[in-house]
This record gives sequence, structure tokens and C-alpha cells, in this order.
Amino acid sequence: MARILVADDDVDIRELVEFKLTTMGHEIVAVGDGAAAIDACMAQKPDLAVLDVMMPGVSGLDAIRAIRAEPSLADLPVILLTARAQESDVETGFDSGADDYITKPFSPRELASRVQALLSRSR
Amino acid sequence: MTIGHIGYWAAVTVGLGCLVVVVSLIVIRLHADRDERRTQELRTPLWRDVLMLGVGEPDEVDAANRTLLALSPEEQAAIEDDTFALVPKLRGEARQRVREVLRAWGSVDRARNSTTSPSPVRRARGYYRLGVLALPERRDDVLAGLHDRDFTARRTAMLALASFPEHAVIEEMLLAATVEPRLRHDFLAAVDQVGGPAADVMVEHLRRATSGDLDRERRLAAEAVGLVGEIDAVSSLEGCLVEDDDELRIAALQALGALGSPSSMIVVTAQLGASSPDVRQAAMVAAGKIGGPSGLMLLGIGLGDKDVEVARAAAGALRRSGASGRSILATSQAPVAREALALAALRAS
Repeated sequence: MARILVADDDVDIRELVEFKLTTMGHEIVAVGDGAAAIDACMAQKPDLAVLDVMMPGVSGLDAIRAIRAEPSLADLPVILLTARAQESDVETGFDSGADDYITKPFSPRELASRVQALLSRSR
Repeated sequence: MTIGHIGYWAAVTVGLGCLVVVVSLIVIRLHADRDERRTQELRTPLWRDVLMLGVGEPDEVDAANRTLLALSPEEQAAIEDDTFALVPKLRGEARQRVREVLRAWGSVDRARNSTTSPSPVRRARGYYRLGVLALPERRDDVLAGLHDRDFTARRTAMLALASFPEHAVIEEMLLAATVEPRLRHDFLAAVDQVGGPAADVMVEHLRRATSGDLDRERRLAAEAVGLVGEIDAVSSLEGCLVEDDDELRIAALQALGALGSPSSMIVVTAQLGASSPDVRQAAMVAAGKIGGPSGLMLLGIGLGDKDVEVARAAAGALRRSGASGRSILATSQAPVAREALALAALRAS
């Protein structure tokens, strides 16, 4: 079981991701914006983070930069959730330190396999 | 009866009226709160089944499916809105499973009935829901929405038609957006969702001979082609650059820039001689996006354009073109080049 941070301002998406990862046996910390994601990462030290790119205030990309700046979180695996139209942001996301990305609408199976792959790689 | 009596009874009547209104409002509020609580109580366990249907493992999906299909109308109503909102956020089989449950609940007929409601909000909701349900038999009901008397309903129908990626539907969408420019944004959003099948229709329209109203149609088609990244459309877009219509040429230049084919640089360069500064400016932006040595060369020439906005577009594109672009800016004597470098330094500080 891993502790996973899920950050998305869309309640439905957050609920879906949270539900899927909970059924896989993980412990979820769910937040609705980038600033809360940074705070939760600092406080809860998750094993993996799933961040939406477009969030109010601090975006997912800004959140990754802030997370990477913290030495204890420098190796935290991060998956970006991005809409198809924002796929150009993915390159910036990888530059900022993201490890993988999933486009929305997403397939639950794809999410599960990406999460498992990153968790096993980081252990 | 004296005036004092009349005043007294009038005050009593008004006071009683106010009391009745206040009591009625309290009763309505309590009633609404009770309904809301009841809906929430029903929703919580059922929503878990909807989520399970969307993202669960096969055995969990089967169990959730059976539960959801056996729901009473009241239980269905408690989660129907949220379930509709969930469908576009899922993909593949998961999306189809949730759709099937909504169809089994009779949502198709309800959505279809909504499209004939006197209320524009209900009609818009009807079109939206028919789009989410994506039942081919209901395609014409959504198509009819493009001619709805209310603009919001027409917009919703345009977006909902992305669920029916057929040639004839895309033709109708393009026609509607051509006739009503306010629908342009929704048309492009729908085309972006449709992707490949829409691109084929757009290319066909780009190839048609130009005349009058068709120019607007071709401008939209050019924009749409750039959006969906249809690389086969490059030659058709290049063909648009010899037309007289400036707006068509600008749309084609934007699309060519988005497609980024190096072979387009020859025709893009030719636009440097256009009389319209807007066309020349679009050529600079396109050259910056296409990039490469010939793109940089064109942008270098553009720095000296007599129109300052064109020169500024060239400088901006060079600034975004990496070290080679910045080196052209550094060696140029054009004021806009110095301006672009100063702005870049300011941003970096």
C-alpha cells in the first residue's frame, strides 16, 4: 500500500482517481488546488503524486517545481493529468520534473498501470 | 365606517398577508431541505456504484451494473445528473458502460422530450444529454438543435454533435458556423474533439472553388484543419495563399504554422510581399512556428518591415526560436530587435 496525493480542481475527476486508487488498496490524500498539493506533499510525504496541470492559483507545473525544490521530495514520482488540448504543456511538465502523464478523459486501467509502474520503479 | 377603521383593517390584512408569505417561504424551505437531505442519503451509496461501474474490476463492474439497473425511478433521479456529468470524463469501455446504464434508465426519451420544451434551458440540457448518450438514432434530434431559436441551445447542440462524427453531421456543423459566426468557437471545440473524421471534411471544403459566402466557410475549414493537425491538408492550405481574401490567407497561414511543415516555407515567404500588414504578420508567426533556417531567414527580413507590428511579430518569433533566433536579434540594427532583447532580459531578471 502506498500513500498517494491526488490534486485536481474537478471534483468528479478527483473522486474517480481517488476511488480507483483506493480500490487498489492505496491511501489517498485528495486536494483541490496546487497550493494545497504543495502543502500536502510537505506535510504528508506521499509515495506518489497525481497532479492536474490546469488548477486555479498554483498550476500543476508550478506545483512540481516547488515540490522538486524540496530536497526530501526531489525523487517523488509525479504523474500529470492533462486535457488533450494541453498536451503541449507535457514537454514543460517533463522539464519541470514530471515522470509520466495521462490525458483526460482517462482510462481507469491506464491510470492503474501507470501508478503501479511508477511505484514499483521508485521502490 | 371611519377612515381609521379602514386603515386598521388594511393594516391587519397586509400584516396577515406578510405572515402567510413568511410562513409559506419557511415551509417551502423546510420541504426543499428535506428533499435535499433525502436525495443526499440516497445518492451516497448509489454514487459508489456508479464510480465502481466506471473504474472497478470486472466482477465489481458486474455487481455495480446489476445494482444500478435495478434502481427505482427515485433512486435514479438522485444520481442521474451526476452520472451524466461523469460520462465525458471517462474513456473507452468505462464511458460506454456508464452510457448503457443511463440509456437503460430511459434517459434517452427524457432527453429527447426536453429538446421540445418551451424552456431554452431544458432544450439545451436535452441536446447536451443526447450528445452524452451518443445514440445514432437520436442524431437528427441534436442536428435540429443547430436551428433552435435560442443561441445557448444552438451552442450546446453544436458541442453535442461531436458525439456523432459522421461526414453529413460535420458538414452541417460547418455550415451552421459559417452562417452564424458566433458559433465559431463551439464549432472549433467540437471539431477538436472529433479529430480525424472532421479533418477530411475540412480538406474537401478547402479544395472547393472560392466565391462569396464560401470564403467564410473555407476560413473556418482552414482554422479547423490547423487545430486537428491534419498534415495531408498542407497543399490545400498552401493553395489558399493565392486567394484574394486576406482573412482566408491569414487562417491558412495560422493553420500552416500549427502544422509546421517545412515545405510550406516557400509559400509563407511569398506572403512577405502581401499588401496587408495583417497577412504579413500572420506569415511571421507561421514562420516562427515552422522554424528551420528558411524560417529564421524570413523572420530576419521581417525585422525591417515598414509596419511596426509585423516587425514586432518577427522579433517575438525570433526570441522564441532559441539561440539562433536570439543571435539574429543581437546582430540586427532594427529597433524592434533591441526591444525584444530588452524585454527578454527584463523577464529573465
